[in-house]
Amino acid sequence: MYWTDALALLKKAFSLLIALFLFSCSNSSDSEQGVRIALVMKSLANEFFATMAKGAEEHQQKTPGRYELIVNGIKDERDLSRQVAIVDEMVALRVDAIVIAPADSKALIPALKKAKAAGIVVVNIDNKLDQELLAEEQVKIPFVGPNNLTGAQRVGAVLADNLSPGDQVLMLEGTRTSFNAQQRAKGFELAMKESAIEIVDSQSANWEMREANIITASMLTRYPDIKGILAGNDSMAMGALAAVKTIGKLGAIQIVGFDNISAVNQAIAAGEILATADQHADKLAAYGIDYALALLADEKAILADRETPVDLITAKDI
Amino acid sequence: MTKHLSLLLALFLLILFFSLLNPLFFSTPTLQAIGNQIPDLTFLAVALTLVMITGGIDLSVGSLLALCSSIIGVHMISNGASLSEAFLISLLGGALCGLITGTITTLGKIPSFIVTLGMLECARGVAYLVTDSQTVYIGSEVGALAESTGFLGVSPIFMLAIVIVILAQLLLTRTVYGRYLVAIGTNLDAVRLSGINPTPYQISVFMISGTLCAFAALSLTARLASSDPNAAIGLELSAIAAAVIGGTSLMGGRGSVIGSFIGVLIIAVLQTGLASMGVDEPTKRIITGAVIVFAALMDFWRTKQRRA
Amino acid sequence: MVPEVLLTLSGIKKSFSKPVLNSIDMQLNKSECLGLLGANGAGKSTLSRILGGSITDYEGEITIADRSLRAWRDDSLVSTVHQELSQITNLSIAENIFFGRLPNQYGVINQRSLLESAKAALELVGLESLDALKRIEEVDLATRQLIEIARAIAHRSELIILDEPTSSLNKAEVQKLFKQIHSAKKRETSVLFISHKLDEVFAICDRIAVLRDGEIVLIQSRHEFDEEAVLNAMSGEKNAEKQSKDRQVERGTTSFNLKNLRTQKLKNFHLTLQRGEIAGLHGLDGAGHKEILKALFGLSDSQGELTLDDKNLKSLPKTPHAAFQQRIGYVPEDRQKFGLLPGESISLNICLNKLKNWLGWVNKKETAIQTMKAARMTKLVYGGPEQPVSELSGGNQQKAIFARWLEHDLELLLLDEPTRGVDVRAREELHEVIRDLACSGTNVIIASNDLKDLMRSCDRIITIVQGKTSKEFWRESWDEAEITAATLSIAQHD
Repeated sequence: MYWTDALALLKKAFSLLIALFLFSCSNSSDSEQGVRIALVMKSLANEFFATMAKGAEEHQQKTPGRYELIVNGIKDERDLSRQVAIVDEMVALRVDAIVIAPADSKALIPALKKAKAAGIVVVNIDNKLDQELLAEEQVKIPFVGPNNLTGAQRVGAVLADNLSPGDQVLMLEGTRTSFNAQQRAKGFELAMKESAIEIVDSQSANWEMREANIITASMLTRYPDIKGILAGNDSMAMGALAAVKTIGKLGAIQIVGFDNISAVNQAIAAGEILATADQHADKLAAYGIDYALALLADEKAILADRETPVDLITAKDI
Repeated sequence: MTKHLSLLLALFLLILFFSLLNPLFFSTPTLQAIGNQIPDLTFLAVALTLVMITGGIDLSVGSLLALCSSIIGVHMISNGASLSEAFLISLLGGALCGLITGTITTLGKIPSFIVTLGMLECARGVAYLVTDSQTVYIGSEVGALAESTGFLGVSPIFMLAIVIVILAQLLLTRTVYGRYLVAIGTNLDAVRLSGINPTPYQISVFMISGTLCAFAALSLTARLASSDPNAAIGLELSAIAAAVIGGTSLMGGRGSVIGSFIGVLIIAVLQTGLASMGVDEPTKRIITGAVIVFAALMDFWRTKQRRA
Repeated sequence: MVPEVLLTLSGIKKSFSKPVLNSIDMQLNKSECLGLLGANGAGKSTLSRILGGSITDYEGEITIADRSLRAWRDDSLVSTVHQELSQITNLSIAENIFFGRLPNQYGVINQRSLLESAKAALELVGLESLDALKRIEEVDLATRQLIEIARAIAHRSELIILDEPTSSLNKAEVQKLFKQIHSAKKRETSVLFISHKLDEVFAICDRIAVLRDGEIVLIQSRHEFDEEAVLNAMSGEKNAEKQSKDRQVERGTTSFNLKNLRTQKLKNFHLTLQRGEIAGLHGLDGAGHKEILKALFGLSDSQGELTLDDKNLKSLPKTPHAAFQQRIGYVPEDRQKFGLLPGESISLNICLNKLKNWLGWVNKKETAIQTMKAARMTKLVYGGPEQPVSELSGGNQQKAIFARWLEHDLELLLLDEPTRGVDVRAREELHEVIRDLACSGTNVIIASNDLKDLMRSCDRIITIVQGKTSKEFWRESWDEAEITAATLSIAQHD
């Protein structure tokens, strides 16, 4: 009895699907009433990207009806495969533009190349795609975003001003496969070299607070003379701060971060963290979307990169 | 097939739901996109189905995938090997890891849960080592395997996945080897006391699992056109979910590869459907979790009904 | 005095794939012990599961103490002691006895009160010396059965269902159980005694009911008891007493020679068998006769020399797999735990060790034929090769496990309590399989606590006391009382 019911239901469901399929096929051409933009982010669990997404949504609501926004993120920053899948799905949905913060500077390129081939406008934000590979694959994708290298260099300089030459510092890098992590690490290194400060060790904490905490704790016992910590993002800075607090060296060790998330903002106000950099997360996606809209309006627009501001945040600014 | 009727029903209801909300969802490109992204999860789900049927579990599949993928990438880029050569090495690598876990868990009589948890860490570490924690970009030589072909617009790796699903289902239901896996999962003592030595079967099933990880690695590497040592973190949980949705018992003895494949489809459709609506991340995860539990419940009711 | 009715069954029907119970009408009085008899698949187990509350979707009406069984929520009303013990093996004896009503305060178990009540309950079944904190899996089956009965008594149930309660008990233990039944009756508890041992049913029950093909075909009160009529009612035919086949053991053709078997329990045990001999090992619980079988099948750490049919194996097989390669087979005592693949088909259960060529396909036709052949040899009644083995009755399940060992041209077959929980008819059929095997040249060793059963098929019975042979009895000259005495002999001298 149960089975015949289920079978009948299944048949009904199936015929409905077939009808729907035919319907959607025949209607595919007149579904282009509005412009649809897909924003493909990294982990929305990360405050930085959540702020970015919120900024994009506000941007969309300011001019209602101008375009439709589809926001998607992945569950953690390293879930490359899911991000590629999202790009494929957005291409399948025939959106007009994709604004993407790529989880990897190389591996996303083939998927984005396919999107471009399908006639979709692609704008790269936040994490810059690998320029060599783009050239090799003969794809042009404009980048809208901050210069992480100079940003990190300025944050590093603040730390250097508070230390004396010859002091030891520790560096916490983001996920090493990411371009931003590499750029920030380079920026930090340049700043340290200028002031003759020694980076005794540099490890990747994969952008995560917990991992940063564990690594810092063990490093602090191994190098007891550490005077400063350079964290590739604010989450890792918070993790480092917790480790410093645990061993009671708050104040003796200076920490800098990157991103200006709210927790770090408070920590700076309290004097626990020295500095961070604000890349205006809330505006970053909006800049990208504006750029995409401009490209959609004028197909001949030049595909040039656009640099967005990075501001240094210290206790003075709060 | 009637065995999987309720699962298919759930799958169709899910497709129907998303299609009604978004007419563009049920279209050839979307179906192709889904078809293109499932092969890696499919291989892992098949691997877990086989292991779980014997009453074991393999948590290392995600890391093994990353390791095999790293082997492919590094061997092709640094050593200039051909794709087939690199894939062969990764197959051997996967099988070797499976042999190690299988041997330790079976001969050492240690629960596979903890042994494969150890392998999960080790394999990930080795993957970082071989790639120097960098994504290795390979390009179209491997990427072509994930491109749609003339045949129904599906990719070669998708077809490979279908072939493996069919072969694994046949292995499980039609071969002596498969029946022994089921028997071992149902009552290991009874198998032993009937004069059969279960050890080779218990070990080899982990080798098969490792080999399937290499297949999964091939398909993920193709899709990304690169080897990512960070790939598939947590994917073992999705694979377990797919297998359990498909009616595979965590206690062993019961399960079907076809069922697990439908489980994979349910998860993929859900993911794509939610993405097409732009649902925010927290809601996505809540819905995914609820659907997994609901699908498992449905399977439970169904088997209860059949038994009564 | 008109007896007070406790339990009334009217028009009880239940079918699974085919009808199992077909309109059962029956009454059970307070303080009465009713014996329920029937062959395999007659519906005894189904009826007991309905009364025990594990089957609820039946037709008809059951009232207990004037209330519908469906309306009762209190699961202590009816306690069932199952044929296949269903205890939680990882919990202690005490916890098992009071499982579901553990004495507690805010969820924390009151250990002292639990232990005391458990001790009291165990004392009632004569197990006062047992450590109630032991885990259930550490005690043997006979004791576990008594623990189940203690549980039923402790729960003060109105009705206790005993499903084949004596199948793993020896004579003394059976007497203890009977004493428990008498005292339960005194407490106005009713007992439903499901068994196939006619002598026991006649000894303890006030009335008997015979179930055949889902119907009650005979009810007799104590004064009308008639063995012949009951047997006929059970089988539905004139049951001519089957005589054991005349089988000649070829004396002097030694084909099995076990020397100096030593394990933890056994000290230098020797055994020699003539070709085709059926030997019975008998003893009290823990005497060591079961360990002999385990040692021969590579299931325990053991030393000794074994010669099989002139092939000197030097040492005993180390694993069951090695034993099987020497063509030794083994039927374990606990078939649920060690024998069956419960969810799987009859054909897989029977052909489990007949599937050759592990890389190959399973040939369904071939396995179906093998299943059919084995089923014919064991008189196994089944629906089809793909039917789940769990749907079979206890006797037929045991036949399936026997069938697994047929067609292997075995040198030696080891049977541990082969007829435990099996009804009269299936028991007779199993004995016939054993004799057929012996005729074809297989040596058979049976270890059992059931002496009557051993006497039915063995050529020789060896009594084991504390890991040593106490005495040997050949069929021509044995005597039940002497054998029983021999199981106690050394124990008294030592």
